[in-house]
Amino acid sequence: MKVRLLLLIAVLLWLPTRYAAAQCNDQLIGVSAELLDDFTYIKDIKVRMKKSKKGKLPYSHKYSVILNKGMKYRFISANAQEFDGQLVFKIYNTQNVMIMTNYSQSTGKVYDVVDYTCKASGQYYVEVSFLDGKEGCAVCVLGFKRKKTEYELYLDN
Amino acid sequence: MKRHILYLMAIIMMGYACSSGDQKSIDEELGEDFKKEAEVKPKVSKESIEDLIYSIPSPLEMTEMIRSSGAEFSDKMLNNTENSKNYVNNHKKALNLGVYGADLGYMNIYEKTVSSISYIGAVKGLADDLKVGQFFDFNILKRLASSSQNIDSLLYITTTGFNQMDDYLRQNNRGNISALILTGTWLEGVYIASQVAKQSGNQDIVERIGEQKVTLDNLILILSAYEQDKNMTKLIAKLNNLKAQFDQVTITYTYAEPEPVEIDGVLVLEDNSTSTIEMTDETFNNITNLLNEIRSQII
Repeated sequence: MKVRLLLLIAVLLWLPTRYAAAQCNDQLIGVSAELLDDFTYIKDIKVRMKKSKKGKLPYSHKYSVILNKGMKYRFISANAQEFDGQLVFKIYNTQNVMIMTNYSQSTGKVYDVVDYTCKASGQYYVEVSFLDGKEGCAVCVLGFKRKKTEYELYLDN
Repeated sequence: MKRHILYLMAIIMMGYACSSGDQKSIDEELGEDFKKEAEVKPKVSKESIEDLIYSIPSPLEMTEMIRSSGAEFSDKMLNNTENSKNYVNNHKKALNLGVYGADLGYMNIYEKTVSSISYIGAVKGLADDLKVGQFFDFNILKRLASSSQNIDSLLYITTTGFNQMDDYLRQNNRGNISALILTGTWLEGVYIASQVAKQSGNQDIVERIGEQKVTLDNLILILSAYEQDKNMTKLIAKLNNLKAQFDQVTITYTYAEPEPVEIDGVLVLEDNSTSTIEMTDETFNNITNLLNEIRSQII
């Protein structure tokens, strides 16, 4: 009897993790797409991390991304509700200097949307982690702003 | 205790059976033609390739810059969709799937949505041939393309389709196909830009072409991971000739701290850094000619 109970618990623990993993990816891109507003979607980073070990730095991963001079970009973070983790992203320039983050250390606020006007083309780096090393699942979506077309301007008027 | 272990092993094996069953059905579906493709194993880690792939910019940004510069739309530069029947092997199909993808983006950015339907068809056809057609719903795309009012949705659905296809290919050990699609997309985007720059002399576009030096380096690194494939070796050699010209371009970056402000709950940063490009007319002409040459061998 005990064995069956143990097995049932094992299966019940295993299934939700598979379900959560499926839920916390493409669906979140749809959620964050709404925050794009008049920006055009380019790409996304799917982030899934376990809780970091106590006393250690939070798990993180760095991706490179090429940003172009004269373009206005929007970075969006969307977190899966089934986890506590809030996505923190830091952008480093070509010289590996951190130029922005969506987390304000002074206020403790995590911004879902960051707009960045690029004036220097090159290879930048996006470092992603979860605040305080909590377990989390999130996406970071990148979009760029298009100049309005004649038709869009006509609709605005 | 033994029963515990046996039951747990059974569960683990069931899990493995489910996942390996998925892979088996994928292999069966792909058939003999794709077996050679699967034999091409990357020389560098999957993670490194993923990071590099992520860095390759979307051709939409380049197209947007061309449109913002005031350049007129020209479908003469694009790859005729009639050519799609001529691509017989997966190498060419993948490269031209990328080429048509960039052409489609160019048409969409210029809101030539109705005429883009034949390009949607070419993308869908080649994607079907490569067994990744499930990421493009022709009927939905055709319906969206019927009106320029749907431009945002059309751009979103096609871009996510390409990104999902790319994820799928890499997850199923077909990263070489993903790398070829990416190469075709990049090449067509830069080719269009070079043609516009040649005709208009617009210095912003010329500069943007010079900046492609960084992307080309990354692209060659990605392709080099699959260089045991003969076709890939030839392609890398062509791109290395192009790289030799891009190596003449000097990019200077000067850092200055950005100023963040909060506007309506959005963190807004205006960069104060600058970058400059030094490229002679001769180098630009050589790059343009080489792009033309490589592209004509691909399409």
